[in-house]
Amino acid sequence: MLKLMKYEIRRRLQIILIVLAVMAFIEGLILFGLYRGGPWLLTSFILTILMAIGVYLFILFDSIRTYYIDLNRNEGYMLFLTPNSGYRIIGSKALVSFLELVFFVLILVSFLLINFFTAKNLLINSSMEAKEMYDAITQAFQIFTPSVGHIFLLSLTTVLQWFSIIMMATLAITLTKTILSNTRLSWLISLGFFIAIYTGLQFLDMGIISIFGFINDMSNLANTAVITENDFPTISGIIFKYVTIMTVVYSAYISIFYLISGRLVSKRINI
Amino acid sequence: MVVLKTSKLSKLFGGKYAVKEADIMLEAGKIYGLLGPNGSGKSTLMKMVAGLFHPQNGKITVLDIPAGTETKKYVAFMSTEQFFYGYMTIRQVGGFYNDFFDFDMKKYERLAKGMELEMDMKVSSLSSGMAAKLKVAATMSRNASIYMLDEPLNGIDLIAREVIITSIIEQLNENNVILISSHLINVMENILDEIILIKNGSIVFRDAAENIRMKRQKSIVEIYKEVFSIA
Repeated sequence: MLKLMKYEIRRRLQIILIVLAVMAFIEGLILFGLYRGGPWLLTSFILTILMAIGVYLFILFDSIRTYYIDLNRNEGYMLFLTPNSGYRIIGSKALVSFLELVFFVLILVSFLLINFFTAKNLLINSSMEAKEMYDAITQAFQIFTPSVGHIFLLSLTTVLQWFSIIMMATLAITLTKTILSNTRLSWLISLGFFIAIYTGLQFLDMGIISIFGFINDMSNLANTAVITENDFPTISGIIFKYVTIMTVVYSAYISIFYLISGRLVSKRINI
Repeated sequence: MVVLKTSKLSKLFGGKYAVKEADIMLEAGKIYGLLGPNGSGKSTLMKMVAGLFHPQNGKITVLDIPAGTETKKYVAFMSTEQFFYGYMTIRQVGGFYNDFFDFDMKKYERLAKGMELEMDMKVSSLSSGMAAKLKVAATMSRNASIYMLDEPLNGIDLIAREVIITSIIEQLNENNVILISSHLINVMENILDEIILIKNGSIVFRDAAENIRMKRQKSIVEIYKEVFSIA
Protein backbone atom coordinates (compact mmCIF):
# COMPACT_ATOMS: atom_id res chain seq x y z
CA MET A 1 0.00 0.00 0.00
CA LEU A 2 2.83 2.42 0.87
CA LYS A 3 4.45 1.83 -2.51
CA LEU A 4 1.18 2.59 -4.28
CA MET A 5 0.83 5.73 -2.18
CA LYS A 6 4.39 6.77 -3.05
CA TYR A 7 3.59 6.75 -6.77
CA GLU A 8 0.21 8.39 -6.27
CA ILE A 9 1.88 11.26 -4.38
CA ARG A 10 4.64 11.59 -7.01
CA ARG A 11 1.99 11.81 -9.66
CA ARG A 12 0.10 14.60 -7.91
CA LEU A 13 3.16 16.47 -6.69
CA GLN A 14 3.57 18.86 -9.60
CA ILE A 15 0.01 20.16 -9.48
CA ILE A 16 0.12 20.35 -5.67
CA LEU A 17 3.19 22.60 -5.89
CA ILE A 18 1.46 24.78 -8.45
CA VAL A 19 -1.62 25.15 -6.22
CA LEU A 20 0.61 25.98 -3.24
CA ALA A 21 2.30 28.71 -5.25
CA VAL A 22 -1.09 30.12 -6.30
CA MET A 23 -2.28 30.03 -2.66
CA ALA A 24 0.83 31.87 -1.52
CA PHE A 25 0.23 34.53 -4.17
CA ILE A 26 -3.42 34.95 -3.15
CA GLU A 27 -2.44 35.12 0.52
CA GLY A 28 -0.01 37.88 -0.38
CA LEU A 29 -2.83 39.79 -2.07
CA ILE A 30 -5.09 39.28 0.96
CA LEU A 31 -2.46 40.62 3.35
CA PHE A 32 -1.77 43.53 1.01
CA GLY A 33 -5.51 44.33 1.07
CA LEU A 34 -5.58 44.23 4.87
CA TYR A 35 -2.66 46.63 5.12
CA ARG A 36 -4.15 49.01 2.57
CA GLY A 37 -7.57 48.98 4.32
CA GLY A 38 -10.61 50.83 3.00
CA PRO A 39 -12.20 49.28 -0.12
CA TRP A 40 -9.34 46.77 -0.29
CA LEU A 41 -10.77 45.01 2.76
CA LEU A 42 -13.70 43.70 0.72
CA THR A 43 -11.27 42.34 -1.90
CA SER A 44 -9.32 40.55 0.83
CA PHE A 45 -12.51 39.10 2.24
CA ILE A 46 -13.70 37.84 -1.17
CA LEU A 47 -10.26 36.40 -1.95
CA THR A 48 -10.25 34.54 1.37
CA ILE A 49 -13.61 32.94 0.60
CA LEU A 50 -12.55 32.11 -2.97
CA MET A 51 -9.29 30.56 -1.79
CA ALA A 52 -11.11 28.34 0.73
CA ILE A 53 -13.65 27.17 -1.88
CA GLY A 54 -10.91 26.76 -4.49
CA VAL A 55 -8.77 24.58 -2.24
CA TYR A 56 -11.65 22.21 -1.44
CA LEU A 57 -12.65 21.98 -5.11
CA PHE A 58 -9.05 21.41 -6.18
CA ILE A 59 -8.69 18.40 -3.87
CA LEU A 60 -11.94 16.91 -5.17
CA PHE A 61 -11.02 17.45 -8.83
CA ASP A 62 -7.44 16.28 -8.36
CA SER A 63 -8.67 13.00 -6.83
CA ILE A 64 -11.26 12.53 -9.56
CA ARG A 65 -8.76 13.39 -12.32
CA THR A 66 -6.13 10.82 -11.32
CA TYR A 67 -8.66 8.04 -10.76
CA TYR A 68 -10.53 8.80 -13.99
CA ILE A 69 -7.28 8.65 -15.98
CA ASP A 70 -6.36 5.31 -14.40
CA LEU A 71 -9.70 3.79 -15.33
CA ASN A 72 -10.15 5.31 -18.76
CA ARG A 73 -6.71 5.77 -20.29
CA ASN A 74 -3.97 3.31 -21.11
CA GLU A 75 -1.71 4.65 -18.34
CA GLY A 76 -4.02 2.82 -15.97
CA TYR A 77 -2.60 -0.49 -17.19
CA MET A 78 0.61 0.31 -15.37
CA LEU A 79 -1.25 0.42 -12.08
CA PHE A 80 -3.75 -2.37 -12.67
CA LEU A 81 -1.11 -4.83 -13.88
CA THR A 82 0.58 -4.72 -10.48
CA PRO A 83 -0.34 -7.49 -8.04
CA ASN A 84 -2.55 -5.26 -5.91
CA SER A 85 -6.23 -5.85 -5.21
CA GLY A 86 -8.90 -3.28 -6.02
CA TYR A 87 -9.19 -2.57 -2.29
CA ARG A 88 -5.51 -1.69 -2.07
CA ILE A 89 -5.59 0.46 -5.18
CA ILE A 90 -8.68 2.37 -4.05
CA GLY A 91 -7.35 2.48 -0.48
CA SER A 92 -4.03 4.01 -1.53
CA LYS A 93 -5.76 6.63 -3.65
CA ALA A 94 -8.22 7.42 -0.86
CA LEU A 95 -5.47 7.76 1.74
CA VAL A 96 -3.45 10.10 -0.49
CA SER A 97 -6.58 12.20 -1.09
CA PHE A 98 -7.21 12.29 2.67
CA LEU A 99 -3.63 13.35 3.41
CA GLU A 100 -3.82 15.95 0.65
CA LEU A 101 -7.06 17.24 2.15
CA VAL A 102 -5.64 17.45 5.67
CA PHE A 103 -2.46 19.11 4.36
CA PHE A 104 -4.34 21.79 2.46
CA VAL A 105 -6.85 22.36 5.27
CA LEU A 106 -3.94 22.94 7.68
CA ILE A 107 -2.40 25.46 5.29
CA LEU A 108 -5.74 27.11 4.77
CA VAL A 109 -6.39 27.36 8.52
CA SER A 110 -2.87 28.78 9.02
CA PHE A 111 -3.56 31.45 6.40
CA LEU A 112 -6.96 32.21 7.93
CA LEU A 113 -5.36 32.63 11.40
CA ILE A 114 -2.65 34.88 9.97
CA ASN A 115 -5.31 36.97 8.23
CA PHE A 116 -7.50 37.11 11.34
CA PHE A 117 -4.75 38.27 13.68
CA THR A 118 -3.33 40.66 11.08
CA ALA A 119 -6.77 42.17 10.65
CA LYS A 120 -7.25 42.34 14.42
CA ASN A 121 -3.95 44.13 15.02
CA LEU A 122 -4.46 46.54 12.17
CA LEU A 123 -8.14 47.29 12.41
CA ILE A 124 -9.50 46.73 15.92
CA ASN A 125 -8.75 50.27 17.07
CA SER A 126 -9.52 51.88 13.73
CA SER A 127 -13.28 52.15 14.17
CA MET A 128 -16.22 51.21 16.38
CA GLU A 129 -17.58 48.90 13.63
CA ALA A 130 -14.34 46.96 13.52
CA LYS A 131 -14.41 46.50 17.31
CA GLU A 132 -18.04 45.30 17.13
CA MET A 133 -17.22 42.88 14.34
CA TYR A 134 -14.29 41.47 16.32
CA ASP A 135 -16.52 41.00 19.38
CA ALA A 136 -19.16 39.25 17.26
CA ILE A 137 -16.58 36.88 15.81
CA THR A 138 -15.07 36.02 19.22
CA GLN A 139 -18.59 35.43 20.59
CA ALA A 140 -19.39 33.10 17.69
CA PHE A 141 -16.17 31.22 18.44
CA GLN A 142 -17.28 30.85 22.07
CA ILE A 143 -20.54 29.23 20.94
CA PHE A 144 -19.20 27.04 18.14
CA THR A 145 -15.86 26.05 19.59
CA PRO A 146 -15.85 26.40 23.38
CA SER A 147 -12.81 24.13 23.78
CA VAL A 148 -9.85 22.74 21.84
CA GLY A 149 -11.66 19.38 21.71
CA HIS A 150 -14.61 21.04 20.01
CA ILE A 151 -12.33 22.73 17.49
CA PHE A 152 -10.76 19.37 16.71
CA LEU A 153 -14.14 17.63 16.36
CA LEU A 154 -15.53 20.35 14.10
CA SER A 155 -12.41 20.26 11.92
CA LEU A 156 -12.54 16.46 11.75
CA THR A 157 -16.20 16.49 10.69
CA THR A 158 -15.55 19.08 8.00
CA VAL A 159 -12.65 17.03 6.62
CA LEU A 160 -14.66 13.80 6.77
CA GLN A 161 -17.62 15.42 5.05
CA TRP A 162 -15.46 16.52 2.13
CA PHE A 163 -13.60 13.22 2.10
CA SER A 164 -16.94 11.38 1.87
CA ILE A 165 -17.70 13.53 -1.20
CA ILE A 166 -14.38 12.45 -2.74
CA MET A 167 -15.17 8.79 -2.04
CA MET A 168 -18.67 9.30 -3.43
CA ALA A 169 -17.13 10.59 -6.67
CA THR A 170 -14.79 7.57 -6.69
CA LEU A 171 -17.78 5.26 -6.41
CA ALA A 172 -19.67 7.14 -9.15
CA ILE A 173 -16.70 6.78 -11.56
CA THR A 174 -16.30 3.11 -10.64
CA LEU A 175 -20.00 2.40 -11.19
CA THR A 176 -19.88 4.07 -14.62
CA LYS A 177 -16.85 2.03 -15.62
CA THR A 178 -18.49 -1.16 -14.34
CA ILE A 179 -21.87 -0.78 -15.96
CA LEU A 180 -21.10 1.29 -19.06
CA SER A 181 -17.43 0.67 -19.70
CA ASN A 182 -17.25 1.74 -23.32
CA THR A 183 -19.58 4.71 -23.29
CA ARG A 184 -18.61 8.08 -24.64
CA LEU A 185 -19.22 10.97 -22.27
CA SER A 186 -18.72 8.58 -19.37
CA TRP A 187 -17.86 11.57 -17.19
CA LEU A 188 -21.41 12.83 -17.71
CA ILE A 189 -22.85 9.50 -16.58
CA SER A 190 -20.48 9.53 -13.60
CA LEU A 191 -21.76 13.00 -12.75
CA GLY A 192 -25.32 11.62 -12.95
CA PHE A 193 -24.45 8.79 -10.58
CA PHE A 194 -22.75 11.28 -8.25
CA ILE A 195 -25.77 13.59 -8.13
CA ALA A 196 -28.11 10.63 -7.58
CA ILE A 197 -26.02 9.24 -4.69
CA TYR A 198 -25.54 12.71 -3.21
CA THR A 199 -29.26 13.49 -3.33
CA GLY A 200 -30.17 10.12 -1.83
CA LEU A 201 -27.74 10.64 1.03
CA GLN A 202 -29.08 14.12 1.77
CA PHE A 203 -32.45 12.50 2.52
CA LEU A 204 -30.73 9.79 4.53
CA ASP A 205 -28.81 12.41 6.54
CA MET A 206 -32.07 14.19 7.35
CA GLY A 207 -33.65 10.90 8.38
CA ILE A 208 -30.73 10.04 10.66
CA ILE A 209 -30.62 13.38 12.47
CA SER A 210 -34.42 13.34 12.81
CA ILE A 211 -34.14 10.03 14.67
CA PHE A 212 -31.85 11.79 17.14
CA GLY A 213 -34.43 14.56 17.79
CA PHE A 214 -33.25 17.26 15.40
CA ILE A 215 -36.73 18.74 14.87
CA ASN A 216 -37.42 19.00 18.61
CA ASP A 217 -34.03 20.57 19.26
CA MET A 218 -34.55 23.15 16.54
CA SER A 219 -38.07 23.96 17.84
CA ASN A 220 -36.69 24.49 21.34
CA LEU A 221 -34.01 26.80 19.99
CA ALA A 222 -36.52 28.75 17.93
CA ASN A 223 -38.76 29.19 20.99
CA THR A 224 -35.95 30.83 22.94
CA ALA A 225 -36.97 34.48 22.74
CA VAL A 226 -33.67 36.12 23.63
CA ILE A 227 -30.37 34.29 23.55
CA THR A 228 -28.09 35.22 26.41
CA GLU A 229 -24.63 34.03 27.39
CA ASN A 230 -26.28 31.47 29.68
CA ASP A 231 -27.74 29.77 26.59
CA PHE A 232 -24.34 29.29 24.93
CA PRO A 233 -23.57 25.90 26.51
CA THR A 234 -27.03 24.60 25.46
CA ILE A 235 -26.62 25.81 21.88
CA SER A 236 -23.08 24.46 21.73
CA GLY A 237 -24.31 21.15 23.16
CA ILE A 238 -26.98 20.84 20.45
CA ILE A 239 -24.55 21.74 17.66
CA PHE A 240 -21.94 19.27 18.82
CA LYS A 241 -24.49 16.53 19.32
CA TYR A 242 -25.16 16.61 15.57
CA VAL A 243 -21.53 17.22 14.69
CA THR A 244 -20.69 14.00 16.56
CA ILE A 245 -23.51 12.08 14.87
CA MET A 246 -22.41 13.28 11.43
CA THR A 247 -18.80 12.32 12.16
CA VAL A 248 -19.98 8.74 12.64
CA VAL A 249 -22.32 8.93 9.62
CA TYR A 250 -19.61 10.30 7.29
CA SER A 251 -17.18 7.64 8.49
CA ALA A 252 -19.78 4.99 7.66
CA TYR A 253 -20.36 6.46 4.19
CA ILE A 254 -16.63 6.55 3.50
CA SER A 255 -16.26 2.90 4.53
CA ILE A 256 -19.23 1.81 2.39
CA PHE A 257 -18.05 3.75 -0.68
CA TYR A 258 -14.58 2.29 -0.25
CA LEU A 259 -15.78 -1.29 0.11
CA ILE A 260 -18.12 -1.15 -2.91
CA SER A 261 -15.52 0.60 -5.13
CA GLY A 262 -12.78 -1.82 -4.06
CA ARG A 263 -14.95 -4.85 -4.77
CA LEU A 264 -16.05 -3.56 -8.18
CA VAL A 265 -12.47 -2.80 -9.18
CA SER A 266 -11.35 -6.26 -8.03
CA LYS A 267 -14.17 -8.28 -9.56
CA ARG A 268 -15.97 -6.44 -12.30
CA ILE A 269 -14.11 -3.63 -13.99
CA ASN A 270 -12.51 -3.94 -17.43
CA ILE A 271 -9.64 -1.51 -17.63
CA MET B 1 4.81 -27.93 -16.93
CA VAL B 2 1.60 -26.15 -17.82
CA VAL B 3 1.97 -22.43 -17.11
CA LEU B 4 -1.29 -21.11 -18.51
CA LYS B 5 -4.58 -22.85 -19.01
CA THR B 6 -7.87 -21.37 -20.11
CA SER B 7 -11.09 -23.29 -20.49
CA LYS B 8 -14.26 -22.12 -22.22
CA LEU B 9 -13.02 -18.56 -21.86
CA SER B 10 -15.46 -15.99 -23.21
CA LYS B 11 -15.72 -12.24 -23.29
CA LEU B 12 -18.54 -10.18 -24.74
CA PHE B 13 -18.46 -6.53 -25.72
CA GLY B 14 -21.79 -4.95 -26.57
CA GLY B 15 -23.43 -8.36 -26.97
CA LYS B 16 -20.76 -9.56 -29.41
CA TYR B 17 -18.15 -12.18 -28.59
CA ALA B 18 -14.61 -10.78 -28.55
CA VAL B 19 -13.39 -14.16 -27.31
CA LYS B 20 -15.56 -17.26 -27.51
CA GLU B 21 -14.98 -20.42 -25.48
CA ALA B 22 -11.23 -20.29 -25.91
CA ASP B 23 -9.32 -23.29 -24.61
CA ILE B 24 -5.58 -22.89 -24.58
CA MET B 25 -2.80 -24.56 -22.68
CA LEU B 26 0.71 -23.15 -22.73
CA GLU B 27 3.66 -25.22 -21.61
CA ALA B 28 6.90 -23.93 -20.17
CA GLY B 29 9.95 -23.59 -22.37
CA LYS B 30 8.11 -22.61 -25.53
CA ILE B 31 7.39 -19.50 -27.54
CA TYR B 32 3.81 -19.38 -28.80
CA GLY B 33 2.49 -17.16 -31.53
CA LEU B 34 -1.07 -15.96 -31.13
CA LEU B 35 -1.98 -14.91 -34.63
CA GLY B 36 -5.06 -13.50 -36.25
CA PRO B 37 -6.34 -10.46 -38.11
CA ASN B 38 -7.36 -7.20 -36.45
CA GLY B 39 -10.30 -7.63 -34.10
CA SER B 40 -9.91 -11.39 -33.87
CA GLY B 41 -9.65 -11.30 -30.06
CA LYS B 42 -5.88 -11.61 -29.48
CA SER B 43 -5.57 -8.53 -27.27
CA THR B 44 -8.78 -9.29 -25.36
CA LEU B 45 -7.57 -12.80 -24.59
CA MET B 46 -4.23 -11.49 -23.36
CA LYS B 47 -5.86 -8.77 -21.29
CA MET B 48 -8.07 -11.34 -19.58
CA VAL B 49 -5.01 -13.41 -18.66
CA ALA B 50 -3.26 -10.24 -17.45
CA GLY B 51 -6.25 -9.40 -15.23
CA LEU B 52 -7.21 -6.19 -17.04
CA PHE B 53 -10.46 -7.68 -18.35
CA HIS B 54 -12.82 -9.94 -16.44
CA PRO B 55 -14.20 -12.86 -18.46
CA GLN B 56 -17.96 -13.40 -18.73
CA ASN B 57 -17.47 -17.16 -18.67
CA GLY B 58 -14.72 -19.68 -18.36
CA LYS B 59 -11.63 -20.15 -16.26
CA ILE B 60 -8.03 -18.99 -16.38
CA THR B 61 -5.30 -20.55 -14.29
CA VAL B 62 -1.68 -19.51 -14.13
CA LEU B 63 0.53 -22.18 -12.54
CA ASP B 64 -2.72 -23.81 -11.37
CA ILE B 65 -3.73 -20.63 -9.52
CA PRO B 66 -7.04 -19.04 -10.61
CA ALA B 67 -6.33 -15.71 -12.31
CA GLY B 68 -6.52 -12.76 -9.95
CA THR B 69 -4.33 -10.42 -7.95
CA GLU B 70 -1.93 -13.23 -6.99
CA THR B 71 -1.29 -14.39 -10.56
CA LYS B 72 -0.32 -10.87 -11.67
CA LYS B 73 3.03 -11.57 -10.01
CA TYR B 74 3.68 -14.27 -12.60
CA VAL B 75 2.25 -12.59 -15.67
CA ALA B 76 4.33 -10.01 -17.56
CA PHE B 77 2.03 -8.39 -20.08
CA MET B 78 3.02 -5.83 -22.65
CA SER B 79 0.04 -4.19 -24.27
CA THR B 80 0.17 -2.83 -27.78
CA GLU B 81 -0.62 0.64 -26.46
CA GLN B 82 1.87 2.90 -24.68
CA PHE B 83 0.88 2.56 -21.02
CA PHE B 84 3.50 4.20 -18.85
CA TYR B 85 2.76 7.31 -16.83
CA GLY B 86 3.91 10.37 -18.74
CA TYR B 87 5.39 12.07 -15.67
CA MET B 88 7.91 9.26 -15.14
CA THR B 89 11.44 9.07 -16.48
CA ILE B 90 12.72 5.80 -17.95
CA ARG B 91 14.62 5.23 -14.70
CA GLN B 92 11.43 5.75 -12.68
CA VAL B 93 9.58 3.23 -14.87
CA GLY B 94 12.28 0.72 -13.88
CA GLY B 95 11.90 1.77 -10.25
CA PHE B 96 8.14 1.21 -10.45
CA TYR B 97 8.58 -2.29 -11.88
CA ASN B 98 11.27 -3.01 -9.31
CA ASP B 99 8.91 -1.98 -6.51
CA PHE B 100 6.04 -4.22 -7.60
CA PHE B 101 7.58 -7.16 -9.43
CA ASP B 102 10.50 -9.56 -9.39
CA PHE B 103 12.58 -7.35 -11.66
CA ASP B 104 16.13 -7.35 -13.02
CA MET B 105 17.16 -3.70 -12.93
CA LYS B 106 20.57 -4.36 -14.49
CA LYS B 107 19.01 -6.15 -17.42
CA TYR B 108 16.54 -3.29 -17.81
CA GLU B 109 19.37 -0.78 -17.94
CA ARG B 110 21.27 -2.96 -20.41
CA LEU B 111 18.22 -3.36 -22.68
CA ALA B 112 17.41 0.34 -22.48
CA LYS B 113 21.00 1.20 -23.43
CA GLY B 114 20.92 -1.33 -26.27
CA MET B 115 17.84 0.38 -27.62
CA GLU B 116 19.38 3.83 -27.22
CA LEU B 117 17.06 4.94 -24.45
CA GLU B 118 18.50 7.34 -21.91
CA MET B 119 17.47 6.72 -18.33
CA ASP B 120 16.65 10.36 -17.63
CA MET B 121 14.30 10.76 -20.58
CA LYS B 122 10.70 11.47 -19.66
CA VAL B 123 8.07 9.03 -20.93
CA SER B 124 5.96 11.92 -22.18
CA SER B 125 8.81 13.07 -24.41
CA LEU B 126 9.38 9.71 -26.11
CA SER B 127 8.53 9.10 -29.75
CA SER B 128 6.19 6.17 -30.45
CA GLY B 129 9.15 4.02 -31.50
CA MET B 130 11.07 4.80 -28.32
CA ALA B 131 7.99 4.14 -26.19
CA ALA B 132 7.59 0.77 -27.91
CA LYS B 133 11.20 -0.10 -27.08
CA LEU B 134 10.69 0.95 -23.47
CA LYS B 135 7.67 -1.37 -23.15
CA VAL B 136 9.74 -4.31 -24.31
CA ALA B 137 12.69 -3.42 -22.07
CA ALA B 138 10.48 -3.15 -18.97
CA THR B 139 8.44 -6.29 -19.70
CA MET B 140 11.37 -8.51 -20.64
CA SER B 141 13.33 -7.45 -17.54
CA ARG B 142 10.71 -9.00 -15.29
CA ASN B 143 11.27 -12.48 -13.92
CA ALA B 144 7.86 -13.91 -14.72
CA SER B 145 6.35 -17.28 -15.59
CA ILE B 146 4.46 -16.04 -18.60
CA TYR B 147 5.36 -13.20 -20.93
CA MET B 148 2.61 -11.91 -23.16
CA LEU B 149 3.72 -9.48 -25.82
CA ASP B 150 1.01 -7.86 -27.87
CA GLU B 151 2.56 -6.67 -31.13
CA PRO B 152 6.08 -6.23 -29.70
CA LEU B 153 7.53 -5.10 -33.03
CA ASN B 154 4.98 -2.39 -33.75
CA GLY B 155 6.74 0.88 -34.45
CA ILE B 156 10.18 -0.66 -34.01
CA ASP B 157 12.94 -0.03 -36.55
CA LEU B 158 14.89 -2.88 -38.18
CA ILE B 159 17.95 -2.56 -35.95
CA ALA B 160 16.00 -2.54 -32.69
CA ARG B 161 13.89 -5.48 -33.88
CA GLU B 162 16.93 -7.70 -33.60
CA VAL B 163 17.62 -6.50 -30.06
CA ILE B 164 14.02 -7.25 -29.13
CA ILE B 165 13.92 -10.68 -30.72
CA THR B 166 17.22 -11.55 -29.03
CA SER B 167 15.90 -10.37 -25.67
CA ILE B 168 12.78 -12.52 -26.13
CA ILE B 169 14.81 -15.63 -26.92
CA GLU B 170 17.23 -14.93 -24.07
CA GLN B 171 14.40 -14.71 -21.59
CA LEU B 172 12.97 -18.13 -22.40
CA ASN B 173 13.84 -20.99 -20.07
CA GLU B 174 12.32 -24.26 -18.88
CA ASN B 175 10.21 -22.47 -16.26
CA ASN B 176 8.52 -19.83 -18.36
CA VAL B 177 6.52 -19.40 -21.51
CA ILE B 178 6.25 -16.59 -24.03
CA LEU B 179 3.08 -15.73 -25.94
CA ILE B 180 3.46 -13.26 -28.79
CA SER B 181 0.87 -11.71 -31.01
CA SER B 182 2.17 -10.08 -34.15
CA HIS B 183 1.20 -9.06 -37.61
CA LEU B 184 4.80 -9.46 -38.71
CA ILE B 185 4.49 -13.23 -39.00
CA ASN B 186 7.39 -13.61 -41.41
CA VAL B 187 9.71 -11.80 -38.97
CA MET B 188 8.59 -13.84 -35.97
CA GLU B 189 8.20 -17.16 -37.78
CA ASN B 190 11.66 -18.46 -36.96
CA ILE B 191 11.37 -18.03 -33.22
CA LEU B 192 7.89 -19.52 -32.71
CA ASP B 193 7.58 -23.06 -31.35
CA GLU B 194 3.81 -23.26 -31.69
CA ILE B 195 1.16 -21.18 -33.32
CA ILE B 196 -2.41 -20.55 -32.25
CA LEU B 197 -4.72 -18.96 -34.81
CA ILE B 198 -7.71 -17.03 -33.55
CA LYS B 199 -10.61 -15.94 -35.72
CA ASN B 200 -13.67 -14.02 -34.56
CA GLY B 201 -12.78 -14.82 -30.97
CA SER B 202 -12.48 -18.58 -31.45
CA ILE B 203 -9.32 -20.66 -31.57
CA VAL B 204 -9.43 -22.19 -35.04
CA PHE B 205 -6.01 -23.74 -35.44
CA ARG B 206 -3.15 -24.87 -33.28
CA ASP B 207 0.00 -26.77 -34.13
CA ALA B 208 3.73 -26.90 -33.52
CA ALA B 209 5.79 -24.85 -35.95
CA GLU B 210 7.89 -27.91 -36.70
CA ASN B 211 4.83 -29.95 -37.67
CA ILE B 212 3.70 -27.18 -39.98
CA ARG B 213 7.04 -27.14 -41.72
CA MET B 214 7.83 -30.89 -41.72
CA LYS B 215 4.47 -32.66 -41.97
CA ARG B 216 2.37 -30.07 -43.70
CA GLN B 217 5.33 -28.79 -45.75
CA LYS B 218 4.13 -25.23 -45.31
CA SER B 219 5.34 -22.04 -43.75
CA ILE B 220 3.42 -20.32 -40.97
CA VAL B 221 2.61 -17.51 -43.38
CA GLU B 222 1.02 -20.02 -45.77
CA ILE B 223 -1.05 -21.60 -43.02
CA TYR B 224 -2.13 -18.15 -41.88
CA LYS B 225 -3.22 -17.23 -45.38
CA GLU B 226 -5.04 -20.54 -45.75
CA VAL B 227 -6.98 -20.19 -42.50
CA PHE B 228 -7.87 -16.59 -43.03
CA SER B 229 -8.56 -17.10 -46.75
CA ILE B 230 -6.13 -14.51 -48.03
CA ALA B 231 -5.54 -15.02 -51.73
